[in-house]
Amino acid sequence: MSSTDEDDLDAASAARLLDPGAAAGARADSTVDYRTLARMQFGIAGSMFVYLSAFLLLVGDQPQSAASAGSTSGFSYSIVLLIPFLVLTQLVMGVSARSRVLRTHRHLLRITLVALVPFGVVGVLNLMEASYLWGINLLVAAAPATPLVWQGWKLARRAGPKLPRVPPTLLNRPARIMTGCLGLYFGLTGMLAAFSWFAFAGLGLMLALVALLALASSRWGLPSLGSDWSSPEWNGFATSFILLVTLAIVLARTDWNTPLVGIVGGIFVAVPLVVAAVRGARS
Amino acid sequence: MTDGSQRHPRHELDPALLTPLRFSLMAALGTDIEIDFATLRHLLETDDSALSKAIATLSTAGYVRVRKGYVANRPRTWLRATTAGQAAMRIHVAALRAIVGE
Repeated sequence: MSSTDEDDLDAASAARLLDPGAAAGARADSTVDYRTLARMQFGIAGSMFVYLSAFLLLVGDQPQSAASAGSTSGFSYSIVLLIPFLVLTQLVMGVSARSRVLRTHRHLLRITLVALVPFGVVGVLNLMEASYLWGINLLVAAAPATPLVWQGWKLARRAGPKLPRVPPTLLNRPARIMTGCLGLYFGLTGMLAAFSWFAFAGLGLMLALVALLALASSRWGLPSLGSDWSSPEWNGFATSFILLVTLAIVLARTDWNTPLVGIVGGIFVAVPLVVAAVRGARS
Repeated sequence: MTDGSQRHPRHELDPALLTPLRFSLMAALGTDIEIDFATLRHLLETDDSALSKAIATLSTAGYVRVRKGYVANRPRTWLRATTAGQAAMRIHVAALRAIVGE
């Protein structure tokens, strides 16, 4: 800045700079969609709790050799849990992108990572075949979800009144196709988990996921899908997610580990998302 | 010239923040908001060219971080204030308020 500029900046000029700045800050804040951001935080927190608690339930009380054993171990079923969770992280990126104006939480990631430390400790305890109270699994799974819920609650408090419901419109063609494919993918994952050769099939499923991730920046990618989805599709995804996790636990932890249970369970897993794709309505 | 403790607040003003557009842009980004280019242009009631120039200046100063991505195959640019940008803004606003006499 030149000395002339400095000399020219009197109190009135400084006030003229300050006022529009304050107005811009207020206008930016008013465009934040706190309701959507709060829902997103609650969704991530809930899915993280379900994923971590189910993971510990699957690998808990497993002999150390099971970590590298075949499909009968809880460890291989953890692939079934990992797939929908990774898909969710991509879908959420799409919701963020659609929001256009986001609240960033610089410390939240750090706090969540620290809260994941007990999960790592319990994971090591499991590998060492140490015994502990089963309820600790739930506490450990709740630890990283808690700061996310807290953040979601803070965002929800800032949300304005709920807007009137917009009449539904049809999902675009790529979104409908990808929604249906995602349902079939989850269903296939559940079905194959019941077979003895799932360890190999799991590799194929993970490769399919890598292919999905490679499409991330295109309109066929998961972030684009997440940005197009509305309540019916998200409800379908949540239902498929819960059913897939439940199926993995049933197959890993009960005597119902039969191909028939896997096939029927896989169909149930696929139905919510396939129905959402066929109906294709969005608000 | 006075000693350091009695310097006139104008010496604390940041040249990169002295235009109304650049100042408003930093004010809009605040401490924890990420905004896409089109929304920012609408909020600041400016045009693509002026906003691009303002972003280039602030980016060169290390005050804003630009993130580019795609939504449904369309490119989109998001902006957020860096830690250095937030600190510079705090000092700049304090200097302006001191000049105003608040």
